[in-house]
Amino acid sequence: MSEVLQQLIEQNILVKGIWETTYMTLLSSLFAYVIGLPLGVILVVTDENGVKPNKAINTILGIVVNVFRSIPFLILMVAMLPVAKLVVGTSLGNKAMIVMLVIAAAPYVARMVESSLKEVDSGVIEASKSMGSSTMQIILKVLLPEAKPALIVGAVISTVTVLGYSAMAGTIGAGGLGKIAISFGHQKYKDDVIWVCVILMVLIVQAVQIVGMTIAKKTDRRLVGSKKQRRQRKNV
Amino acid sequence: MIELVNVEKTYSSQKGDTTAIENINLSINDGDIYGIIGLSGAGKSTLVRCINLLEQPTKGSVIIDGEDLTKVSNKRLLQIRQNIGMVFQHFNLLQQRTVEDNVRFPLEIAKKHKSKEAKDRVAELLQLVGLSEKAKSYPAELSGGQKQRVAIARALATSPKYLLCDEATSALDPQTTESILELLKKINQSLGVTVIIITHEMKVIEKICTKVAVIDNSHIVEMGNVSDVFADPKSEIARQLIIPDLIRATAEKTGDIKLRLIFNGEETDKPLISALALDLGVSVNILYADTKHYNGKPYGHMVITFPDSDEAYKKVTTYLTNNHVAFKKEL
Repeated sequence: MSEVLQQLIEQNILVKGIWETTYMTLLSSLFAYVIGLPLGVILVVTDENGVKPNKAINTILGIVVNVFRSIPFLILMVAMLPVAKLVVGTSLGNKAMIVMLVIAAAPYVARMVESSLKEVDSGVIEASKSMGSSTMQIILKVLLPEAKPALIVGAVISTVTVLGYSAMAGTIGAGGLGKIAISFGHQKYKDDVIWVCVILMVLIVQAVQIVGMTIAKKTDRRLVGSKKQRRQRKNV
Repeated sequence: MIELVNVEKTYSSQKGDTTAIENINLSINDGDIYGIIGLSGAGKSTLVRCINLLEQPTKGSVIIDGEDLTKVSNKRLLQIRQNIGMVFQHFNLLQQRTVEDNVRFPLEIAKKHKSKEAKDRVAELLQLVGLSEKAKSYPAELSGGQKQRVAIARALATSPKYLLCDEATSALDPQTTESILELLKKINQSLGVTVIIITHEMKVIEKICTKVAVIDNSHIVEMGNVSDVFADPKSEIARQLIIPDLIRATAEKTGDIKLRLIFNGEETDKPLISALALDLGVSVNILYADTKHYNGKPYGHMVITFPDSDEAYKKVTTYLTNNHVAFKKEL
């Protein structure tokens, strides 16, 4: 173990890094969904075959989403510095980083949500229309609940992507494991620091993955489930 | 009462226009079980979707209880739809909801799900379709027939006056089809719901419908009482649907007389064919027979042939008339 790594551990810098990475990732993902989920819903609903087709809205929104998705994160970050300043009052640090991550992830989330919602059986939507559902009722009572398992899986993938982006936080003076790996590991030639950071990131990804997938599976009623579950349900 | 007046539906695409249905005029009286039969692609699914405006007709009017659906506001249309239940070929249940929550769903849409009556209604409907013990199950745990029963219960939740069935039995095996048809009949008789059935199977029409419209190539080619159409199908397509093998059976020209006997549920107390042979001394041959007994009454067709003579023809036809068996001479 190198001295640098020892220092990082003793001074709790590593623990702080884990915390910063985790909260930046989760908070950014959350805000990305606050923006991206409605966008995804609008993309599906206004689609040519959607519940309420609207070519103009669909096309414009589609282009905006694609533009933001094609800009590499590093460049997007630089370009969005003024936006961060506007929103959180600074273009440096963790807060600014969260703004960047949200801007980068929201369009990604929108596409994720779109593809999940498109998997909902059109027959079920037709059935709910035949009962006199309004567009809002179809969104809230059919599209979102029926796509729930796919949405959860999408959320896991999006969160892991945000986690990857968050490694670039050091560029604008924000913290986290990515920053530690670069400034203590890479720049001071301490390979073990890099490795420890990588392993910690992998563990965080695994944790998100396992928790997310378990929830997705547990809540998916299309799967008949284990024998035990079935028995429990029958006894209700 | 449902009236379709000059209804037309055309789909436009870059390749040009496709007419799904054209010049549709149809009246469905309250209490009817109205069958609409046609081969796939004939336009029957489009037709049934024009009734609740899931498809907006390009031309014509859809008048339900005096109200023209093509002219009402969107809000009113959603209200009217709550009075028209619909059942689909592939059930279209909400996969993430339990059986009882599926049945409750239309009440939620109508914002009537919170009352005590709503709870009772759901229980009552599950009882009606015989699935009370499956209330907490999910659709994935049910068989096809059970899923369709849930779908029927769901369609009836808001106590609609009309029930549209789009190929409701086409994905089910013959036995399950029978029981679903029984259920629809029960619903018609006990609740007075007017049922409109779309199908490509003559058996479905024959079993429960009172009226039938035959649709072919976007047009209605024949309609009327099932017994009349059944006895004397005029259009080629109706003949094909009703008596597919008959056409083959009568294709051959033999010089003998061919009679098609039609059993409409009139009881015959004597074994008919042996009576013809033994009592009348006419040597009768059976070319084709497709008869079934429902509730102990015979339904179906039989084609018999015997040597051409005026005397034999007279004897046979008199006998048939006396025994209330409808018949038609086939060429």
